[in-house]
Amino acid sequence: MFRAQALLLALLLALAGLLGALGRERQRAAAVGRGPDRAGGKVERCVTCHVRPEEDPGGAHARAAVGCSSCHLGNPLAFDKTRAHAGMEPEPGAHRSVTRTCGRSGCHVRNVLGERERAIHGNGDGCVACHVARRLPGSVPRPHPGVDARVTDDRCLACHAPPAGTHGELAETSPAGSGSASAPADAPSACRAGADGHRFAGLSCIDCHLHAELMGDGAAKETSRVEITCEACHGPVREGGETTWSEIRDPVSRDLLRQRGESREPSERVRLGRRGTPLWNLRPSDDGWTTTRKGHGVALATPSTPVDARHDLRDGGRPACVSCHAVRAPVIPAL
Amino acid sequence: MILGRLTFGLLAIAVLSGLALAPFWSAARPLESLEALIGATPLGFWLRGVHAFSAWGFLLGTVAHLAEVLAKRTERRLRPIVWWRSVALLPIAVLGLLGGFLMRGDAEAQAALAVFREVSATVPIAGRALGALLLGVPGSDLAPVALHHAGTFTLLAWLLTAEHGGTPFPDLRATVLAALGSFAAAGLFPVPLGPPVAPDGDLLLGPWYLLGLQGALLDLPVAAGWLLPLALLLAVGLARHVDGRARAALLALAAAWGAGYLALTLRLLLAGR
Repeated sequence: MFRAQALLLALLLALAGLLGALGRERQRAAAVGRGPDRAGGKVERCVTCHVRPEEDPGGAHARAAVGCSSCHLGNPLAFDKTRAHAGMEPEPGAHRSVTRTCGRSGCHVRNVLGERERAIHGNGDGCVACHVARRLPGSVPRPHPGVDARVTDDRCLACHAPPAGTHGELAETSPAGSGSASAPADAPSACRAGADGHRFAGLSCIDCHLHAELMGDGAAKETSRVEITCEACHGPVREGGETTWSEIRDPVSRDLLRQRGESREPSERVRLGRRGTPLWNLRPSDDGWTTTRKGHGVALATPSTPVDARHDLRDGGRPACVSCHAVRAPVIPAL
Repeated sequence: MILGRLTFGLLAIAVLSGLALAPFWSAARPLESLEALIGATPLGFWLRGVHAFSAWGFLLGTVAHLAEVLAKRTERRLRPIVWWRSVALLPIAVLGLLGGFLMRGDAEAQAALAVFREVSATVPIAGRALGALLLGVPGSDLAPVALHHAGTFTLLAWLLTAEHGGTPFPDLRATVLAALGSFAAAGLFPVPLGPPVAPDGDLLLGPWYLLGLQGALLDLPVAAGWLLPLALLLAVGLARHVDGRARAALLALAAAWGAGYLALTLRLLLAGR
């Protein structure tokens, strides 16, 4: 039978256990956040602690709309910090976890899994490389940068900067926006060259480059992914390079328009990239076409390729536009 | 026997603490409700710990008492039908505890639910129906699991323990000792919950008492999930009906089973590190 000593020992152990429990209870009570515990219509206990306004990315990814765990994973049900942060993704959209963050069901799923992973391959570290605002020197430090589709040039140039840039022929990668006379003689040509008309017009990278060529279209490409061509905007448009919006099936283009509160009439003409992606910011106007700067909404007249002897070299076929229009190209004497 | 009485006391504490926990648990939002219990309810983590440790103690006590009975050759004091029902207490205790594990609703519990649904499906003829009866149909909430955890298996465990012990309730001393032990363990050792979603690349572990079976399923067909436990139960149960070398052989088989189970448990734990 149970002896009194056994019961006494158990009693002492139980007291020790209760003391330990009371100590942990005090810690638990002190650690519980005081903010709201819901966001986006679901339990999101991250926001009980992360209540500062600068911790909110705002926009479509606002804390109140999607919470934190939709992008950052972790445990949104937990009350204590350790459990809440377990399994957290500090860099949502990175390749390692993109299928559970940006590419999760109900968010930016456009292709089946394998295709989506291929689609973003090679673009820095996943979605964040382009879609999260970079912390630039001199900018105000912010715990949570903005997340958006209006990709600014500084994000592109983080990878595509000279001398590794791919745009030397148009000198659009000149950091200062124009050539520098003091650049050393052995500097990359893009640094020495003056900015071209696109740069002077204030166009950004994304004003010409399309989402499909930047994020892929779900199919691996052995050669360049670039869809945009000079002719797509300036003409002469290639055969099949123009259609109407009634023929457009690309859901991303329509999403981008919807995000900006824009729409297109089915009968409106639209020009296409090499693989059929619509140039949704290039619109027909009374006297040609206008290009809208995606970042600022400013519409610019888009000059058409002149119909003259220089541009109509039918006998030998017309050379690539950059053969003449690159800032490094030798000046072609007047014919 | 002291061990048997203490085991009954632990069952009583598990039942009482389970009754105290029931209002906090939601079948539709199991993990959320448990997080709220341990994170937002004063001493909720401790109450959950008392329930877990008393239930684990009940399982360990059942195994230890069974081994004690076999070692002392006292199984023949029980009528054959009572003996077999006492042996059945072991799988009932495991199934009851497994229900509690599944009721966590975390990634480990979800994985375990899927595994045991597959295991039950391999039982001939009635496998899928049995799985639906015990675990609910895929996509349903955890209400069926909770029903069997708190109702079917708890009631059966109590009835069989009471029959085996010859008394409908545990004695007060055993219950107090069980309570004090559970209070101490719950205060000193937190009982963790798993993550809501399985982390990439991590091995999800089932309940500690089924790790050997989980380890066996890595190499053996899914049906081993019920065939192996059945083999152990038959070996232990038949030991009452034979003598001499046959009994020794059956007990050696059970011992080898236990040793193999421990080895598989260790292998899985090492693989999970």
